[in-house]
Amino acid sequence: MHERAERLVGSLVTADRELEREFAARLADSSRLAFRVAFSVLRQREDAEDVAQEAFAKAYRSFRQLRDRTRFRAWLVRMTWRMALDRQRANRRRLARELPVEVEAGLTWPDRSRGQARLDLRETPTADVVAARERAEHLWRAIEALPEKLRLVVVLAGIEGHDMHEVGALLDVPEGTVKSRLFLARKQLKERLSWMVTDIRN
Amino acid sequence: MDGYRHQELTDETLEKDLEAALGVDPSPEFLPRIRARIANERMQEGWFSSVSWQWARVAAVVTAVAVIAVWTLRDPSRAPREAHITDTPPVESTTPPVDSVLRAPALVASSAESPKPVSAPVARAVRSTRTPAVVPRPEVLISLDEAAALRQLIVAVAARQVQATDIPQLAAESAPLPMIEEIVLEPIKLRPLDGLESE
Repeated sequence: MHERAERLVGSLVTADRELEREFAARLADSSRLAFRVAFSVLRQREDAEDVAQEAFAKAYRSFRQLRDRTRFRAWLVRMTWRMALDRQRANRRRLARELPVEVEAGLTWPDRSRGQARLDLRETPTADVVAARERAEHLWRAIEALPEKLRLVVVLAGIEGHDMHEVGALLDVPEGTVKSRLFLARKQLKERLSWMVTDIRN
Repeated sequence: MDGYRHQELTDETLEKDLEAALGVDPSPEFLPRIRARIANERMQEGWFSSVSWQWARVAAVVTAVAVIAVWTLRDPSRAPREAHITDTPPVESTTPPVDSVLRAPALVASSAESPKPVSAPVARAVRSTRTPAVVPRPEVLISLDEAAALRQLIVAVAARQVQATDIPQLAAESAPLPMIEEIVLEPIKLRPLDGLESE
């Protein structure tokens, strides 16, 4: 009886350790993915790291309940995406509250890349760097203007060289759906960016 | 000013730009920070929520339930009592029938024994129960002779050998009281004592 109890406890402890090891492996494997998903929404490194960290903490708490562990990455991506959107909304609300105060005080015009802009002034960037940043800014605006479903497909396809099949697995949608969404997303992006270029030229 | 002004917007360009925009790496502290956070979570949860201890908690709860169940089943005098009490109707008559009078109260010789103290739980039980079958009757302590005499009297009354009015005490009690005569007291006269007068 005593031996059996010992064996049972031993096996449970082993299962616990295996679970920890498995989570650690998945953390190492998916941390960059979670960060990039969060960054694609927030476009701020610190915020994205915070959100990804929070997503991992949440994933850790629920890891035992996850029946199909092979779906971890998909689960993490969706969770991170949702959390990042929540953070973005919260940031916008906060900015909306703070904006009148800052403008009245003549401090600065609120911009998401405020910190970056200050850094640029000190670095005195070359024309190429400025041009590249502007391009990136246009691209981000175009991505943000996409509907959420298309946006997520574009982001996941652009991260870590995911192919259609992998993106489909991450979003739990068929490959054909990914293909059509990606096509639509690229078309809309090109249209938007062309319009921006034309608008500036005129 | 605009980067797209100098380059034609092809699929390849767009693809390259997307990869460049999304290919941002986290800071080197990112992974250690997550690990520290997870370790913190682990400590907060502690041993109490680990798989092995979850099983241990389940086992403890099951054992406790089993022990309570066995204990309750082994001691049948505990639980069903309340049910009996509520099921039986309350006693309406205050005068007990002759039969019960003959049998109760139990007459116990007092001898030198002191009356047994009634413990609190028993007293509570007596108060809460309303059936004569369940209520333990208090002992009436009288001497052996008195007990024997009372028994004889009760038996005789029951057999109609003795009329209650035959009992002298009762007859005396039922007889008319004598007239009260006024007591006449003579007035007290104060006189000096003989001895004191001579002095």
